[in-house]
Amino acid sequence: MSIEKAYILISIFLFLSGLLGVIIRKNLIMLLLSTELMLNGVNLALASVDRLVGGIEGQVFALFILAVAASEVAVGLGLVIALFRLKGYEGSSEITHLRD
Amino acid sequence: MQELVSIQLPDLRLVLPELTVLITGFMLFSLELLFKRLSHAIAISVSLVGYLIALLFITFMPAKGETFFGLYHRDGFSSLLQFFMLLLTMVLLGFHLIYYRKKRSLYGEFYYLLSFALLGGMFLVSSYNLIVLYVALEAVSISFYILTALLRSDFSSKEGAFKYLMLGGLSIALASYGAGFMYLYSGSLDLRYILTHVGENQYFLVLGLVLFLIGFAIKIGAVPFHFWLPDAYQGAPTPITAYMASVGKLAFFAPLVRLMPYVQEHFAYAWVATVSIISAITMLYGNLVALVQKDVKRLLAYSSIAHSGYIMAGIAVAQLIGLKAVIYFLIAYALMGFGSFMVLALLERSEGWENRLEQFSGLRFSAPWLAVSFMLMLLALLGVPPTVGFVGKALVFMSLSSGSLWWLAFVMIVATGISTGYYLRITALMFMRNPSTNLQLALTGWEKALIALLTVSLVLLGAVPIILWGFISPSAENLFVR
Repeated sequence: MSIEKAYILISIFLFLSGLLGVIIRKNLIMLLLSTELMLNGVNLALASVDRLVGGIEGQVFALFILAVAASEVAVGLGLVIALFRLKGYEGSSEITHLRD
Repeated sequence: MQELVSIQLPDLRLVLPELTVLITGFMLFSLELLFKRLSHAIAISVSLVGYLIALLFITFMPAKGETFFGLYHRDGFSSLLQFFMLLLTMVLLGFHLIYYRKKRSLYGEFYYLLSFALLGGMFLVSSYNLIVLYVALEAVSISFYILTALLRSDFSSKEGAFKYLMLGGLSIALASYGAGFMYLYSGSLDLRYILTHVGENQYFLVLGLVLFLIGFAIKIGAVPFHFWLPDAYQGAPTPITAYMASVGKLAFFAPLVRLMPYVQEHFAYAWVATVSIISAITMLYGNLVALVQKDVKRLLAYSSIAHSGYIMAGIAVAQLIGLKAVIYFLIAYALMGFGSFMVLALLERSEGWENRLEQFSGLRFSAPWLAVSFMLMLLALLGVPPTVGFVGKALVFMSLSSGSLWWLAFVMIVATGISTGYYLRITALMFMRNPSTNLQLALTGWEKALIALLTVSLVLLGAVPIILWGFISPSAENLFVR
């Protein structure tokens, strides 16, 4: 197995563990962390696919993902702080005001 | 040596509307930074002037083509959708001020976030490149997350925004992982090249496309992935809900519409099967759950999910007629959804209004004209003949019958029948009951004029559909030509 394929397998593992975290975690910050993990899996996959197909577009894409994911997590942390302020740490894990 | 260093400048004339919106956004941003207490009249006039110039560029300078080395693609479809996005944003700016003042949530951020969301949407409808689609999608979404949370000390607004952010982050991760697999298959990030490329390992393409479509299905609120949508729509400030239901829907559906003509060649069968099944579930679920809602804002959010289902039914028919029906229905839903949420935003300004169903009883007495226009909007959402909703549904139905998807057409009729239950219930409450609460509602002349304009446009575009059809038909044909 070539090193690129091994990296793609690692990226799939990262992506799936992030997905699992999004599904089973309740803590707000862990949820944000899990989405970041998924996006880092994507970055790793794009960079290693670049080696396989011999281009540079994947790495450019990975740079864009890094920048945009940082801004997304900034907004997410801001929201977490706003939720903590309104409900306190204990109440914030139960964001179930809106439901059917 | 001279040729090696010659630089080819991109053709900036094609992106003049986007540049205008970008400059408007940066102007609003710097004005907000420079002046601690920015006058809202100035902010509104700057944005209106900017959007008006962009609108004039789109209307009177119909240049078509590609620029930025194939990253940006302007055609009739993108101009049409951008026209309606700009128009609806301008209408929104005529409504929002008194609502936000009432909720004590006037922030200067509102204006530039609105223009950045609009800019992202304008790029999203006019590109085939996955990087541009990714960045534009995130520009729209991140602006929406912040706009959703902009209600002072309101927990449900933050909660809706956080759920939207989590599912949005999930969708963007899935879509970009799909983009990675498509890149692995073809060695290019251009959707047209990827889908016409014939290479080995076609399962990479299928896997990539499936992940990409799941990502977009989360964004448009198709049913197995719809959890965020009612919460975000209910928690958000109502003008922003109207904005998400109109401009957001137009923007998020556009890449699927662009994908459709290319998908049909290789695996039309799989496409038709998956999209039509998702569409059927979406229609039925959205309408059934809307039937039991007590909160009208949440009810309209579920009706928005159901309308996503109708639009996806048109997308399932991978033919030209389906494409035309989808574009018509998208624009129709943008107008209808915008209008109905805007009426709720106007009503929420009166004291003690919580959008509960029983509060609508006897609205005819306290706000007769508002009740009449809300009724017309609900009838348009239901699809009663002289309105845009009817023409949109009829077109989708015709395209389903020409694609011989009879079972989906049947499901659509059943779903519309279910939706009669809640649309007509609100109408009956407004017109046949006595008022339970007395409602003080003072509308300014502008707002009356804009609501009247929206209502008239719903009826007019439905009675004379050829007005829109003349623009939709050539742009849809253009999408099929390579």
